[in-house]
Amino acid sequence: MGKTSPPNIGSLHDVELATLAATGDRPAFGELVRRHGSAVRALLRRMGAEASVADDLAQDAFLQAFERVAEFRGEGPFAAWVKRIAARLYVRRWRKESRLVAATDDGEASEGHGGEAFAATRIDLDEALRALPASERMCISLCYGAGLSHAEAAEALGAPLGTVKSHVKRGLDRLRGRLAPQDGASATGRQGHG
Amino acid sequence: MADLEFETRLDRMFADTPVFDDREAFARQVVTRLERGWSMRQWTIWVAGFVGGLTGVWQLVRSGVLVRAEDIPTEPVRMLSHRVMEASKMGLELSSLPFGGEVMWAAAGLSTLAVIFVAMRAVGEL
Repeated sequence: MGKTSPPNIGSLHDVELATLAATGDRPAFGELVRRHGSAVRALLRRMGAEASVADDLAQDAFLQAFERVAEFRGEGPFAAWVKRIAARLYVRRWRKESRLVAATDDGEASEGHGGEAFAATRIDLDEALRALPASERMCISLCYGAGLSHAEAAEALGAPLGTVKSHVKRGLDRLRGRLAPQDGASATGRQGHG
Repeated sequence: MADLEFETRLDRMFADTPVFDDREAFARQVVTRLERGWSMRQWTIWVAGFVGGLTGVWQLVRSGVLVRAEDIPTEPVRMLSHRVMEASKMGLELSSLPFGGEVMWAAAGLSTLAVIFVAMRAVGEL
């Protein structure tokens, strides 16, 4: 049931597809999922979710997005909108599993990867994120991957703003060392997202 | 490297996501779950409407409305029927219908159910 999608659904812009989806057009929404599913799944994995969990949560996020698609006004990219939904879903799950408390004191969870040997190889973002302590990885992913401000990330995590800022700062420092080891500049946190 | 430059680079790296090989299957799974949820919702509405209709009819029967309706003096009803018939100019005379009040109520109940069903289908088509 539902309305019939136009035959050239693949050529429609995200906003047009979202408009169709808001009328109950599930094939149109399916096209949005096809276009942006990978980005949402990748974000959740970068946040620390296992692959199967990330895929389940990404599905849940898209289902939520479908229910709320009328709220999407096209002010920003559709993928970014769904990413925020997915990120919040994962944070809720993460908090429920009480990993936030443990992760706050997790220390150098991944220093085993560290050192010159790690820095000397070509390191992609995924690998660099895996090397971060969980709380820093979460904060960095929320602010840079899901596009949340520091305040929004703090609210989602239920953590003080200062804690989130310090996690972001430390995470940036570590990432800078791993992603650009030749550069020794210091990090001062993110102005644009704060 | 300036802070802003590094953060811009980080933004770019986050935006640069791989395309998973199973993206079509993933999209199908989401749509399947959407369809399943929609079907569940329709059935829930249908069953709720049906149960509600049955409950309504049952309550009417139990409250003795039908019996009381039969006790109503026939003259006003006949006059009202007459006026309705005149207004509609259908030429149909209710008094000549070959069934009693219970059948009328049952028909009304079934009509209500039919309206609910049609409305539900219409919502589904929208």
